[in-house]
Amino acid sequence: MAKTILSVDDSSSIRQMVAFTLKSAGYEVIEAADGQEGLDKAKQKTVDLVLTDQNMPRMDGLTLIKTLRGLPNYRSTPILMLTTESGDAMKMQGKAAGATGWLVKPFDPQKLLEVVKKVIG
Amino acid sequence: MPVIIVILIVATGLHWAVQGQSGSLMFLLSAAITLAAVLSVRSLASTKSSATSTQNRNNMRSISSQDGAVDGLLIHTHEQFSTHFSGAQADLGQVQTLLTDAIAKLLGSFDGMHNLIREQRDVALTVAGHHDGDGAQDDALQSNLEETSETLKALVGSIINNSKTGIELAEKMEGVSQQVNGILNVLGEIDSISKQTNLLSLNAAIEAARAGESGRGFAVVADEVRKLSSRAEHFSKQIRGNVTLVNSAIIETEGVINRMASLDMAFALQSKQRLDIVLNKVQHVNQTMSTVIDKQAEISAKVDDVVGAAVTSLQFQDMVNQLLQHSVQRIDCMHSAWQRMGEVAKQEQSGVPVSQQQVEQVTQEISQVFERAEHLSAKNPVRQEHMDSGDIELF
Repeated sequence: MAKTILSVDDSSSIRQMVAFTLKSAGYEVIEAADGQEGLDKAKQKTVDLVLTDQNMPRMDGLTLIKTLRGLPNYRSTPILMLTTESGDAMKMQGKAAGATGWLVKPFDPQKLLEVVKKVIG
Repeated sequence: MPVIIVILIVATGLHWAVQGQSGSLMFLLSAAITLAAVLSVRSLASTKSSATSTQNRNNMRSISSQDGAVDGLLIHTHEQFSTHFSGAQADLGQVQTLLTDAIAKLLGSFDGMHNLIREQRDVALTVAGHHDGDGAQDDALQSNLEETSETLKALVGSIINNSKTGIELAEKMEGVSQQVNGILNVLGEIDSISKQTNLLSLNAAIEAARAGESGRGFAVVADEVRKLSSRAEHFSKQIRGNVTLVNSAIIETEGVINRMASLDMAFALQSKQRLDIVLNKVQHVNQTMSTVIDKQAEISAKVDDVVGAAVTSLQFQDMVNQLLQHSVQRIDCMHSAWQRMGEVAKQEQSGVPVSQQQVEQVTQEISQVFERAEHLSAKNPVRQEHMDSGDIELF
């Protein structure tokens, strides 16, 4: 059964690119346009991996991670940040919030796939 | 005259707000800088302006409203500035919309192209029997070809052996035919004996007749001998006739066998040659197909790389979008400050005095606007200056 990945980004083109990359490798991809929608969809269906942007309307990525880590189903689920933010301070905040890893945009589809495979197989 | 200093601040703000931008933003920038330059000359004549915002605020407090003409210029250009601020924001919004739409369509095209290439490769693999992806089907096809080749070679070998057996058989038949000729020769001897016996019986009959009564018995014997001779000759003829027929049949059979053996041999040899040619062609086609499939897979992998690079580069839209949003927010700050200044200038122009308290309030508001702009500047999330793929860090 295909593993499910939740892609959270307010940029529709980034969501489209992430879906294009992951679906071609056989993953099922659910999309959300901001942190709040991501949280709602994560509650509706438990996913195997969350891939989230940082700067989004309504709820940002760090808040989403903190909220998800408070849910029983997402205590150990891998959560990767995929953002243009590249500062060390922001990365430390992400790590403290419970992020599994930090990917700086623009992403290389092949490298993204390698990381995803490494994290969830 | 506070307006001058504020304009200077706005001009400076605009300068860093629109760095790298073009079109209407550049217009705004050049207009603001020009206006600031003109006004700053006059400002310098009456005040010593400072670069710091604190000093600016102090200057704003100390400047009187003696420069009514400058206020007029501000009021005169205020609407145009406002229009172009709004226009610039609308332009930036339109750029964002166009970029989003174009990138979505480009991605759709890449996605479609990528899928078509994969589909094409899969079809080619299926045609060549490579669909398991590990070459097992290719080996099976090669194995089948070799097995078919061996079977057909065995068949041709069998036909050749049969042909050789036919030639041997024809040679045996020739031997039989020679034996039959031997029988015919023996029959010739029998005929000769029979003729001599007949002649002897005739002589005996003559002698018996000459002997008269005493030879009567001998005459009977001589007659019986003649009859036996006749019968022997008759049987010999019958045997000769039959053996001759047998001999003819043997010769005919030998001819048939010889022809058959020759035909089989020729056919078998031709078939073997054709078979070799066909099998070579099939193997060549198979090898060509494998080469084409391998090339197809290679091209497909290259297309994957190219599409991957395109996907990486197309993410510029996300960054440009964020930068545009950022610029829109900063221009919005400038617009707010500009509007607030315009309100005060209009008030002065209309003859209603601007109180010190009001000046301080406006100064405070504009300071807050710039602080917000500074804060936005510090929070710019896009620091990338190229489209190389970003760092990856797993915690």
